[in-house]
Amino acid sequence: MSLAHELRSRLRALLRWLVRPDEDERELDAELRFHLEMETDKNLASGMSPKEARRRARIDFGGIERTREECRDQRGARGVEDLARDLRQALRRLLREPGFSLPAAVTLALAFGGVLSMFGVLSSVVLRPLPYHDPGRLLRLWSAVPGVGADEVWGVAKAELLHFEREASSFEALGLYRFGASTLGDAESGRPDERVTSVRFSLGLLRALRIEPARGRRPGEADTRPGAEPSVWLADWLWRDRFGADRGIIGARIEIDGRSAEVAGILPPSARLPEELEGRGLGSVGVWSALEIDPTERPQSSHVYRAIGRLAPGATVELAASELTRLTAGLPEALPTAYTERFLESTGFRTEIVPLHEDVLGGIGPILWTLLVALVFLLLIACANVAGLLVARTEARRHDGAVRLALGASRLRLLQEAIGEMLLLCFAAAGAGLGLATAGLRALRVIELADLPRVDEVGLGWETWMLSLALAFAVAVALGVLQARRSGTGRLPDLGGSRGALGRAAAGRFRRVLVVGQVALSTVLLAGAALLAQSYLRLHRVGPGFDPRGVLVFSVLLPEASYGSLERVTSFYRAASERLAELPGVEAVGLGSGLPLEGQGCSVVEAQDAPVVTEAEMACVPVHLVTPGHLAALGVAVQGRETSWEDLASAAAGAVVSEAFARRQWPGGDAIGNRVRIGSQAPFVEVVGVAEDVRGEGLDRPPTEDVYLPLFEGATTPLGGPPHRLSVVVRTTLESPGSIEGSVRATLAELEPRAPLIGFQTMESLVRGSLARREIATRLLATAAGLALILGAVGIFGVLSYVVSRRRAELGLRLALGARGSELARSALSEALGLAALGVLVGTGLALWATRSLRGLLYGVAPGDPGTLAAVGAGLLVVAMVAAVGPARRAARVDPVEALREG
Amino acid sequence: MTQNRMSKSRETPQVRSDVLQGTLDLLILKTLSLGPQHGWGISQRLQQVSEDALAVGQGSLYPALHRLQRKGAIESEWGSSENNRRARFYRLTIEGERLLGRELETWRFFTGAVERVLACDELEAPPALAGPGSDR
Repeated sequence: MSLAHELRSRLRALLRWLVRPDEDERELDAELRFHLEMETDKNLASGMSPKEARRRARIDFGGIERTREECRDQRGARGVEDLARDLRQALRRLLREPGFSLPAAVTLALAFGGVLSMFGVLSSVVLRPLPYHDPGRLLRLWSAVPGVGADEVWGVAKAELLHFEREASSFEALGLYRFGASTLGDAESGRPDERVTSVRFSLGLLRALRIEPARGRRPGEADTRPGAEPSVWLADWLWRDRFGADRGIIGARIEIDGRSAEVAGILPPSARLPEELEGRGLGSVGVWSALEIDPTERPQSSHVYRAIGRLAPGATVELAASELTRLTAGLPEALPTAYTERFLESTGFRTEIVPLHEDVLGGIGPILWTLLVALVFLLLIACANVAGLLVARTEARRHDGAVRLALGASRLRLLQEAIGEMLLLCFAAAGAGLGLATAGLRALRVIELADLPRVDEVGLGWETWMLSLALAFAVAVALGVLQARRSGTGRLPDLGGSRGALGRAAAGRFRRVLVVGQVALSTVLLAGAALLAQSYLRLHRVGPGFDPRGVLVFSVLLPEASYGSLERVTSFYRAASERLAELPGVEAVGLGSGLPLEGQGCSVVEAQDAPVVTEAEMACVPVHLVTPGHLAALGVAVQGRETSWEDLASAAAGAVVSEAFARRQWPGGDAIGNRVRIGSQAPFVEVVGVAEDVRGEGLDRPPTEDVYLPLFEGATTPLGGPPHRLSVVVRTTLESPGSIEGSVRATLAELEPRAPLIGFQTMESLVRGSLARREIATRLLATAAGLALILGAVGIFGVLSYVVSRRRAELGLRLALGARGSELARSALSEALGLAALGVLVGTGLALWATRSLRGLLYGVAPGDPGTLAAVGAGLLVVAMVAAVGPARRAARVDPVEALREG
Repeated sequence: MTQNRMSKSRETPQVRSDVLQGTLDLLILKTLSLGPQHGWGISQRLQQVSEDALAVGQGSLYPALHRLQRKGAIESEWGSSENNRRARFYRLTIEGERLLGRELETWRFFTGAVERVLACDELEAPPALAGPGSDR
């Protein structure tokens, strides 16, 4: 009977057994009982006594138990009933050979753990759709301005988006919103002030995301009108945390930013903005309120809003894109006060749409896929290693297999046993792997990975469990078949003491192929890790433009109610700077409206005597409101001077611009002495200094064009009045600047007990955080590559040891004939090198292709960089040599007499 | 207890020699080609028709029935026997009829060959034997 047929009928038996476990047995019993009864009847008829008749019948029948057993066998039920016994035996065998099972299980568990945790991340971040209704139809809108910077993107402008909302037919809903921060005060109940993230939204946003209040009323047109009674909607978590889930809060008034507002409703827990899913330190939005929409407002090209649209039924992304392109081209006509043809032309202004999911992922999808592939490679290498171990063990058990085959054990039986054993091994490994993955993902959530979107959704979902089952099963069957085939090649002659050189030659060839494959995969992983590591090191050497060493930063939030005027604010900041500077170990203190690498908005800045003319054509650049000493505290070198506290009081206060800004605005000219202003209405400020370029948007991005404005009336008014939230930069001489947090808090509490201080961190950790995504990718790939290297070395060592032991007789003969030990060692080494070289060659070819997927993560080094690949190849050859030294020395030390006698 | 002891004494010689395993299938198929029958019936029929020359031990008969059933040569269903007992009746399938034909042919070829060898009294050139090989 063919193997396939056999397997099919066993499967049928298994199914029958699963449905009705003992039916076959009962029927067999009934059948045999019937036979005995008939036989007894017959004996009775021939005149025996009933007792004698029964006895004869039984004797004639023969062994009932044996018959039963054989029927079971013939029926194909054996597989099922033997399964438990097989597993018990397999377990015993595995435990008896810890030299095989322990390294195999550990190797597989590590590899499974790697693949499963990365798949867990990938499936919950990339594969699972966003938690919105029909999320595939949600789109993010950005304004691309290639004329300003190649990758430069702005948000959308209010007037612009409202225009699109009126005109675009390919969107079912279009909404805009803007984040802010609000202080929740509640004087009566005596609860402390609380600072929460807030959002102002247009009604279209709620329609696009299908957000409905869980309680209270829906926001309506009336809420958006200028002068409308202020109403807020609370996020579910805030309602529970601060208001104890009190339903009576609806309709009550609470204090927000010193003003009274009515609580109009509570939003459900599912009402979350995509930015909250991204988890980039934004925190959860607590307070929602409607954005004021004033039809009489003069349209401005102030691109500070975020926008989300939902495609209309039947509309496609392409259709929406072409419609937006058409509408964008028509902006100068529709909103002439905000946009001109020249502005569109010079900035290359266009509206871009990106599927929302893609936007939330922010390009991490390909990175995760790359890492998953790397870990799958590692799993393959691990499997190859286990296969190598298995072949070695099977060689040792070859005799056993041959005896059993000769005694009539079916090949199927051997296969079944082998697969059973491997299933046990692989399921144990997969279980351990799942444990590792769970721990890994928990660690991932704890360190928060700064940068991973949807990090709080990460977990081992059912997909990962299914994958672990499938992986364990697939690997077990592959290994089981391998083992059975190996032991199945055993022939009777093997029993006669001859060494079955043919079968062993095949085993040797197989292990060589394994080694070449392992080295090739290791080459790919190492090449990727080396490229990432180089990029990482290069980025660390990139001058960020500031000096992060010994710098502590945090934010101070002044209560707006008691700090209404610029004088009040300024005098607090001055006092704070001076008091902090007196602390031991502190060198310099400065405050600013933002920090490099923290994400910053932009404002339109006009430069006097510069080539650009109207407001619509001026670049939007990061503008920082800074106190004197801010740049010194950050360690940014300044040509000219920074404004001092004394200057602020007089009219001598001046702005500092970055070199990049100066270069573009006054090419070839001198910036100092020229003047800049925000927008086209504010008074001009003289430029008194030019600052070194700062890479404000990331170490891998070109330097930003920054403008640093001093705290004075003309500068702050267009930016929304006196700044109540500033970042404090404290430069110290300390190793760990975080240690002075306590004294900093104490000092500032003396000045203003009601000002919350938040976000203490060192500037170095901020820099590291901006590289977190690269760092984690680099580390993961480096770990995978390191493991691959070790496994590859073990593989080479194993195969060479095996080859040497197999050729003992030959080596002994050659020694006896006068060959020198060193020659034999050299030939073993060259065999190892040959295998490794072949692997490196194949791997380099693969790496040339595979490292292209890393392009987005590389900095200053190209994928497939020849130097890197050469170094990796050379390194692997060295490792191969080292791994081969032991077996080679053993080859040289073979005792000819003993070897020949054995042979 | 009795059963246990007997199952251990596997090598106990049987009074009448057991039929060859390959032949047993043929005999069962042939018997069933005359009509559905239960296990006991088959063993009785074989014994009677062969005039007690062929006795089939139950230890071989039932496994053979289950084997043939798994091969799809016969199928079974429960029915009531001549003395109103519940019994499992076996029946030849189409596949079984084909198998019977093949086995018969093999058997005749084999016995024919054996006959010819036994009938040959003179030494001649060895006859070229061709046809289905012996089973293992």
